[in-house]
Amino acid sequence: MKILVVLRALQDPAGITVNRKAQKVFVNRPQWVFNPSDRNALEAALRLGGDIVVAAVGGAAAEQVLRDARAMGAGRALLLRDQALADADAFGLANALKAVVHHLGGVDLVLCGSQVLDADLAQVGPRLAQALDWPFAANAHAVQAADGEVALITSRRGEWRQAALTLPAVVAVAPDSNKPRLPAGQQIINVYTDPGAVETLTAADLGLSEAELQPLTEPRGQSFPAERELGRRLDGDIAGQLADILRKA
Amino acid sequence: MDMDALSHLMGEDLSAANYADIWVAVPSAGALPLVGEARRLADSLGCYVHAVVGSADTADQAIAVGADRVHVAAVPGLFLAAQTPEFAFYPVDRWHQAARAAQQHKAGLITDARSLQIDESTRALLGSHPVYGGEYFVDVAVTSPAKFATLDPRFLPEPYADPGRSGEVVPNEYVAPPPPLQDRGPADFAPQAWRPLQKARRIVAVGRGLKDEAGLALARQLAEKLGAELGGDRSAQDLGWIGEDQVVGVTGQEVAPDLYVALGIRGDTIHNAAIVRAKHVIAVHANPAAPILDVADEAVVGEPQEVLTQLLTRLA
Ligand SMILES: Cc1cc2nc3c(=O)[nH]c(=O)nc-3n(C[C@H](O)[C@H](O)[C@@H](O)COP(=O)(O)OP(=O)(O)OC[C@H]3O[C@@H](n4cnc5c(N)ncnc54)[C@H](O)[C@@H]3O)c2cc1C
Ligand SMILES: Nc1ncnc2c1ncn2[C@@H]1O[C@H](COP(=O)(O)O)[C@@H](O)[C@H]1O
Repeated sequence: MKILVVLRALQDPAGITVNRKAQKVFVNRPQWVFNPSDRNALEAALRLGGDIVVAAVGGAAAEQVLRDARAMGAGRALLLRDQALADADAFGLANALKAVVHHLGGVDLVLCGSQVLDADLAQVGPRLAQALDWPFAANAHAVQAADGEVALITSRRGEWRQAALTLPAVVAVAPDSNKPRLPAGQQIINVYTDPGAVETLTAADLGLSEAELQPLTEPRGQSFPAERELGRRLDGDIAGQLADILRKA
Repeated sequence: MDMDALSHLMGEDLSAANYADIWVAVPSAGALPLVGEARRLADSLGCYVHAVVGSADTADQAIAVGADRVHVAAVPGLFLAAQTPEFAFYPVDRWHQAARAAQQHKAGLITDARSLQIDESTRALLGSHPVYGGEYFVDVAVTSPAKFATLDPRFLPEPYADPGRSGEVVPNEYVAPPPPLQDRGPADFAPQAWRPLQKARRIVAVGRGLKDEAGLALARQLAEKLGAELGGDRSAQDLGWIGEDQVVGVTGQEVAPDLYVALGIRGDTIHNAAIVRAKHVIAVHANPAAPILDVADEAVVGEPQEVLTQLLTRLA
């Protein structure tokens, strides 16, 4: 079985501060991490076993995440890096990832994360499924594959259900649905010293057209919610007031 | 790029003329506020509002809150995908249908859109999308001929219902394709067993402002007294006070207890974004500028150890 796991690098949320007074997001430590639910997607793939390829669209940050994925055990990593994709939105990304699926050939299952911590658009999975004309399931736990189908557990209107999709399919893996393994030290050294650990592709390599990558959305800046109503500052007999509040809570 | 060039590139006629009106998927009555929102926008544009309802029972209500045309379909989101909407709104819980339909129509989509507006000259759809659950918003303009958004009815006003409004139920012969996601019955399943804090009703959370093991011991006593789980921020994990599965934060656990007591936690974005669903937050921190004090319902500026010592005697 051939599984493609698509990954996104994420600005480490520990390195940002949202300051509502200043109406600004401060990046204190520019540092990139593996989007958490993408790590769960890779873990799910490693547990299913078979031929596991990871792919990401992006630049240096995406490459680093792909190396981490190789260290965790992915057999092959593809980085789609192209200026033509710099402004791509979810529409372009889905078309680009579809081209990666066709480029690889014979992919049975695509796994992605259910959500991205910061923006949480949850568009790439279902859009990719549509572009490929494959079935899609969201928020998957306990992913298993056998007999040409993928079985999983998902929630529907607050109830846990068993569900199945006929392969090939796209499945978005739920955050926290498994405990991702840590890469072995030697593996980390291997992938960081191997110049070929991550293969790079361009839009032209995949035959992607301008229309397929055309952004359909335009970012127009940031806005900030009104500052939360400041909490009540207690003074005077603080311990007494806290005790009252806690007894009632 | 102008529309003609784009249509030419796509090899089809995507001119806005083929895409008309505002269409809304209403799988259940809970999504009726989306119709009210569509009405508000349609009045400024001068176009029709189509509501696709999951059950004929909702047809009259959809008209009362603003639909001009109502279509009844078993899976409204799929019926809508087979139309040519200039604007299409789906409730957030049908985001998967919205995203598939948007890809099919070469349309941009704003997920969980707030403050929707339409630019009357360019007909772009403008909205804000929450980042980190609403810590801040990214403003997005959708510029494709068809424009999609998912909306959360909880953030929309209760729509004004006028039982005298007129509208038309348009019959259709649409048959939805069989669902690709095959349902195999209920699952006996309990996820996230290794994330104990997510279910906790009460959490006492510790941070480096508690200073030392003595401070930690006091916090433990309070947790015991309140029958609360012990949690903390990343600083507490770094000090070895709590384990990885006790860290509250967007990269740890997002929690929703009835009571959250933050002791010596500064409250960075990564932590505060993970407690937005806590019902009641009490915070104690020595630094009056600590962000946690601004998100707490009750805030105490003071040394957490001292405050705890006094509090524990009062609770004894
Ligand atoms: C704050 C913010 C708001 C935005 N708002 C919009 C918007 O409203 N509409 C819009 O169309 N675009 C928007 N964009 C652009 C959008 O981020 C990109 O199109 C793209 O990153 C897809 O969104 P996501 O990463 O949030 O993916 P999601 O759809 O949430 O990602 C789900 C999964 O898809 C996979 N994936 C995502 N990105 C990649 C990648 N680069 N390479 C490989 N796999 C990937 C991962 O497995 C991930 O877990 C926004 C960007 C930001 C930063
Ligand atoms: N979580 C989900 N992920 C993917 N598809 C879904 C999901 N929930 C429902 N569907 C599909 O959406 C269609 C109708 O869903 P609903 O409107 O929820 O009744 C069916 O085709 C389902 O297979």
